Amino acid sequence: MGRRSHRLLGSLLALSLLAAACGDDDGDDAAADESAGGETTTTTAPDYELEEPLRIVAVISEPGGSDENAVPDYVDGIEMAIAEINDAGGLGGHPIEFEAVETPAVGDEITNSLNLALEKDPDVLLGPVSSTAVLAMAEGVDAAGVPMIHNTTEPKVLRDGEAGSPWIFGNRPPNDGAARIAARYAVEELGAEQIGQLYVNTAFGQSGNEAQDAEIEELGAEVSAERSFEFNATDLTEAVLAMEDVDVVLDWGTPATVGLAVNTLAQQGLADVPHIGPGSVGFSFFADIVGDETLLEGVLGVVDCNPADDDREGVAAWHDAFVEENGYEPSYGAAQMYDAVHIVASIVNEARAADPETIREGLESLDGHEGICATYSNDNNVLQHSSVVVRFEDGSLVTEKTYDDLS
Amino acid sequence: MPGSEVGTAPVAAEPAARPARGARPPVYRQRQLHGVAAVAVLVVALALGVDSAFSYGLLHSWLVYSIVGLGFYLVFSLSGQFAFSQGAFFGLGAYASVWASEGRSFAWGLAAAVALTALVALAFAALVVRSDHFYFAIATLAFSHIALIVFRELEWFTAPGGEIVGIPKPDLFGHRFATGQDLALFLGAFLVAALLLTALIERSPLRREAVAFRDNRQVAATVGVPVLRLRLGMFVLGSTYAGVAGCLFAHKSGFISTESFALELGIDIFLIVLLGGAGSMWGPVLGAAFVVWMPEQLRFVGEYRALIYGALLVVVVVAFPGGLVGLVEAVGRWLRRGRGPGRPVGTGGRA
Amino acid sequence: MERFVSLFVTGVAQGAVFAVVALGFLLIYKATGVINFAQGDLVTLGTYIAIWAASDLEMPLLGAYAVAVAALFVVGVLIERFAYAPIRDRSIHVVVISTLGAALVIRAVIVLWRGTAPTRLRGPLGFEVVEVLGARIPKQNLLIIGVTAVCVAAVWLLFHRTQFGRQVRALAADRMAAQMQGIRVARMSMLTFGLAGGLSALAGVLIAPTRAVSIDLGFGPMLYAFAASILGGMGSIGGVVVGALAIGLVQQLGGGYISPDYAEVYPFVLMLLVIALRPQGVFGSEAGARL
Repeated sequence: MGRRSHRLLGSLLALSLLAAACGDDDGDDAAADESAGGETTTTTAPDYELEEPLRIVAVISEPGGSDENAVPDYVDGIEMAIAEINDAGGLGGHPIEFEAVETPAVGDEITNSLNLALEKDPDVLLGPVSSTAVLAMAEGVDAAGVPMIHNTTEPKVLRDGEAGSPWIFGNRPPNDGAARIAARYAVEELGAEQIGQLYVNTAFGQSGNEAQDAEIEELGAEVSAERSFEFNATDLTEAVLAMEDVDVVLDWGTPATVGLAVNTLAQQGLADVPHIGPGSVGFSFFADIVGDETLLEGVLGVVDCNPADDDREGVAAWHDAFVEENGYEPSYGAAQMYDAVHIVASIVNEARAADPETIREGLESLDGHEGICATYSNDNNVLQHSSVVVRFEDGSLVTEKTYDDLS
Repeated sequence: MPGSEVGTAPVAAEPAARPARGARPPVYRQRQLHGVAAVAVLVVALALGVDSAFSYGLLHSWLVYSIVGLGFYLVFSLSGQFAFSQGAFFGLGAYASVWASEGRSFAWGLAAAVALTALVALAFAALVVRSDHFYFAIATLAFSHIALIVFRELEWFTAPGGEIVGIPKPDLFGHRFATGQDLALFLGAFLVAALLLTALIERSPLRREAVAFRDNRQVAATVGVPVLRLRLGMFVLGSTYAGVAGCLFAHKSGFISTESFALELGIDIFLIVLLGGAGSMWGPVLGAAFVVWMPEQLRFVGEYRALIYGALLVVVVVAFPGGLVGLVEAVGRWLRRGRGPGRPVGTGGRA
Repeated sequence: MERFVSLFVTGVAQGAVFAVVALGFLLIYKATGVINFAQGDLVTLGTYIAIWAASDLEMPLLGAYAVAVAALFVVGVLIERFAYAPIRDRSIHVVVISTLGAALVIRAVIVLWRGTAPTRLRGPLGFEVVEVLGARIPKQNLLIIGVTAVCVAAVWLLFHRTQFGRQVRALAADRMAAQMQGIRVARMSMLTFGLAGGLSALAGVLIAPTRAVSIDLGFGPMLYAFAASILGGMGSIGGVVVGALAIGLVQQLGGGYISPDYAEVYPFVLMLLVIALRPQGVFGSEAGARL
């Protein structure tokens, strides 16, 4: 553990991180652990030269752009990682080149954004962060032959999905896996027998709901109330009243509807019914939406990771550095996009090449890369396979249980 | 022109107000067919001339939005109906086409899009056709809203959540229009066909009747214009244009979701026609170019993009009453005046 | 029974907010004959100004609400000056696109100023509830109903008991004649746009504590206020209020007793039925004056 911690701490100093990341990618965890630390730090990283600098282009919705629900976490995470690497001398003798192309979440402009990004001749694309955007881009990315690491849970872009491609990778655990975790936690840890389900009637909510149904049946519990609503629902009185006699409420809604459900449950005297939401619970604005810290007490969420409370050492240091630099609590999305840059950097260091095909192969064979959010390995073009159940306590997120075996 | 009556905007731009010269009715001086030919040449030139995926993307969007804009021109400018429903019919055409063409050729999808949008438009119009303009406008707004929810809920027709991926590019007689250039020519052919049909209407008695109805329905009814049939007909035809455009949109994009057809699209279509110039059939073509091209040009201003786009809209509308077409014509007149004794200026032309 | 009471009160409260927005439409419509499509975004802007005053300026909540209402009066006047007055004599279509453009500008300003992450406006009563016939009713809902009742009464008095109201009604009845009688049209339209702005802010601070605040906050209330105006026939204050309550109730009770999946559809289906069966609305016959 000590060595690993040393290594993760080192990630704040890019030089040692480069070396460590390099060590990661031989695909052997034990070997990586052994070689970690100062020993390899100075030997591999600097002594090769890339012909061309690594070019990263992000296609992400940014605040102020046409996607009105964008948050800054993703690009801030990317820029933090790139700044670290470049401050320490760059990659293969060059600083990493980075550009961000603003991408709306819907409409024809998504395709325009992708085409613009491709004109910038990227070696790898980071983003998008919305399911609709990644679906709209899938065909173009596949045709262009540039690897993409998107930050969505969209099941259709799995390698064997309808829109899957060898070039498209996701660094969030799949939606149905996280939804199953919510059900499993409710039954196994909270002892629920009668379960209530709330979900938004989009593809996200519907697929999450189906996965939960299957898991609940498997575990021998029962769904006793089920309500769906529009993604922009503004009143959940009816849906919450239906939850009167359940042991646990599983809520696969949008940030706004989950917040609304928290308020409505409290108003209907159901505040002490455990309420498990999806990943959006882990974004810093979620507490703002609920508006009252006391209502948040006991609200649970299945998030990708919880940088605010993670005893893998180095994570706390990263969390503090992020808060210092950006002035807000990093979401798991910030950690994942930070990790994405380091995954790409480690692939480049390992292969000593930064062309799209090399990066694609590196992602395909990724195995056991230790990052801030998780340990990343490729399976079906999904890089992360863990989820964390968190609970609000005194306004911050406390880690309850980590699940590492999401399929 | 005090805008105190329904549909007076297009009136200001009504070319029939010009003093008649020669024996033929004024519509024949509009040279619509020359215009259609010019657009056809332009489309071919652009399709052969541009080379980046980005430019082709903009070109495809422009062609599709021009068609849906032309449909709205028929509904709005020619029969004075204030409809926000074009976006919903665009979506209906898209889903109908994907549904019907699965495992078959594109032609099936196109036929289904035309048939279904025409039928639904007819049924909807029959329901609300007697209502006043403001009511009609809000009814179409409501229709769009309902349509979106139905697209999401009616999974056997659309897909879970209304998301469909991997829609094949259009094909005809065994040829698939998959490259940017092929697709631009294919979509361009549809735009030219839509323009031709519109030009025929512009040159037919149908236009005179429609304009008469638009400007004063009571008088029109008394002089024997079949008001109800006309209004229904224009609404159904314009909505069918939207259905065809939606069908093309689905197959050119390869991916659709209900968000593509949200109310914002209805408002965009509205802007396409008004910005371009509601008084002319060329307005939607120019307006679509603006709506597709301008936001991309404003990327460099970063987070101020939305602000500038909104302000630009107000300025264009306030400063150029005839829309972009009016602007182009004003520039044309100014150039002619510069060249000495030209034609008389401002004979009631497009405001 | 509890369920019915709960749904009923929620429906009335939601309808009350729609009524406040619809009163704004009605005022402008009567005085100028146009519809302000920026109204929904004015609701949103008013809410964000209240959030700013309450959190950044640390003003007491009611003071923050007052700031929002006053600020939105000014914004309403500005919209009249820049997006309506210059094109007053042009067609209604130009006015509509101009107010749509103003709406886009307002949205963009909010995003630049307050960011995009959803947030929250506190209500004066927090999340307290009161039991009525066994149902737990949020006090905020009762507050909404009470404030709306006062507001409707005030607008009614303004319409029927003041010089201003007489002039507005004169304009609505016959614009030309009213102008010839010396009614100052420019001042009237500025005032009504300002008042409608204030009403938007009021609707915003009333409804915001019941939900998350995001850039789309005002869009739904605007759509439902349109529908309410239709049901009410765009004529009388009473008609619009009854229309708005009907919309709120149909949405809640339809969602509760028919199928929640289509809860948003019911108000519009009701509206389409009204349009089909009674094209002049249930309560009025003044529609279509200009549009």
